[in-house]
Amino acid sequence: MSHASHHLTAIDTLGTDIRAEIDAVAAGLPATVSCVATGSLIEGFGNPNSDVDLFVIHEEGVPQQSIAIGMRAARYVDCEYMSRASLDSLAARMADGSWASLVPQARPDFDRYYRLCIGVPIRTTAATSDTLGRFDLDVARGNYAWWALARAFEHVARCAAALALGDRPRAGVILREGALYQASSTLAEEGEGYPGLKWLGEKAARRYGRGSAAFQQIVDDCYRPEGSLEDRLDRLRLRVDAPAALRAALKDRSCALDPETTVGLGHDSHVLVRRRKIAEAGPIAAGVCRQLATGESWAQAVDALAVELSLTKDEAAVAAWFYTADLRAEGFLTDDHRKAA
Amino acid sequence: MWSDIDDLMERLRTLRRTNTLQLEVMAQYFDFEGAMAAEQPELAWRAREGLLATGIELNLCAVRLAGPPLDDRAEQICALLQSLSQVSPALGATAADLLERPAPGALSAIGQDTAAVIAFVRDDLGVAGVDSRAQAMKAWADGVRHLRDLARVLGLAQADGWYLPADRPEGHLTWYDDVMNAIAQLHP
Repeated sequence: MSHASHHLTAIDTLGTDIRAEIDAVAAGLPATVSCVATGSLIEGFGNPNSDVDLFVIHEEGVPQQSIAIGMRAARYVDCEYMSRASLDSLAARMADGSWASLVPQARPDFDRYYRLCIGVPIRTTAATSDTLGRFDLDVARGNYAWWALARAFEHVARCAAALALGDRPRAGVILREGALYQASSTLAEEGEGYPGLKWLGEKAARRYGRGSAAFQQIVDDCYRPEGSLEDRLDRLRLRVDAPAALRAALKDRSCALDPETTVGLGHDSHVLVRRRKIAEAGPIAAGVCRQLATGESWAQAVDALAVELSLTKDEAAVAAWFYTADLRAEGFLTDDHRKAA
Repeated sequence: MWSDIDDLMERLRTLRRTNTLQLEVMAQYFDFEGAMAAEQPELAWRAREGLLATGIELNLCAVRLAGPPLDDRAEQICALLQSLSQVSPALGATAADLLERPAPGALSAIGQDTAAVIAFVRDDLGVAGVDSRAQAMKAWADGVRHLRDLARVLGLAQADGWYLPADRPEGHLTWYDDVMNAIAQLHP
């Protein structure tokens, strides 16, 4: 049985109480609204307390609510509302599949795309059936594998930066999460693409068999890692084999100080001011902004950061981009027009 | 007592965030207990981490020192640990120790480690409604009711249809009664 057909039959294995919950929600919907059952129960990872996940898809316009919830003794019902147009847009973004298009996307997009791929239609309109037909499970797995790899690479860079700054607790937290992303990427490449780091053990168990050598190898470094932070970072670096195209996509991003932004750097605080907004920058962002304020380009600022913290240029570029995200969002940093020119 | 509209809005934001976190505690309990029953140790360990992080943020919300939630989980956890350490270095150190602990191999040991996290959140951080799934469900429901009462008094618009009632005769129970019924089934 293929993985896709497994999901279609999974609904038949659900308990009658769960099926009754699903049917009750679907029965209360207008005729123009579609309903899809999905989530860990459909994927086959469910347990006695797994929630019942339902997607309610509106044919036209924007739903007036985003979620609804229902409490039961053993589980809860989690209903998400969405428009068909938003799913068309999601399908188009995922179909692109390039690093440049995948890297900026957010985790919920991959989560929703995958869940729609495995979703079991309870009732659908013709138009929504057409839309759902554009959701491809192989695309979901492949895109998530790439995106999770990019996230793992980003965590390696952030961990290296934290270690260089002497912030070992931060480095430990980041490293643990990075290991989960790397393992999730590997599993997605091997067909276990259900997003969500919390399901790593179940995915590895289904793929390799719980307790097997391959299972232990992929799970242990995430949940019971051995060695110093430096040793663990080196191990993760070796496993995060970022392709040249990904490295290029990550390094190709750049921005500049907005002309109205002024940078004030003190001993303990680094403050940026723009119009009536003030932002305090952390050490990585401050280091980059300090260079940008002297008229250097983003690439030069990243190179200076790499030298200062003894990072590779790729890792410095990724860490710099991550830790300046808020400054870009608030307009302190803007598109690098000099580069575009 | 609120002195002006800015204080009120800030207080409402904090209450709303607190209620979201109460829902999160409840969801982590569902995950943890389901994972223990189905022998899914990695899911149980992740839920334990979620209970700890959520408990810290609930503590910080109570003293109005929680920052805006961050999308990145690692950065969020680092921010929570940093804020807690500023309030109390000892609590921060204990939380960091609990967080950095490697997962034990035996499911029973995961249960014990999770009990230690719950005790820390309840006793040391002083967070109520974290002792059991039933308590977490009630804390969330009470929080929703409080927020909706406030919204009604203030004349703020409230969404309908946000709650999916269990199958029952129409119109006999409120959403709150429905949740309490579900809790009662946990402890008949």
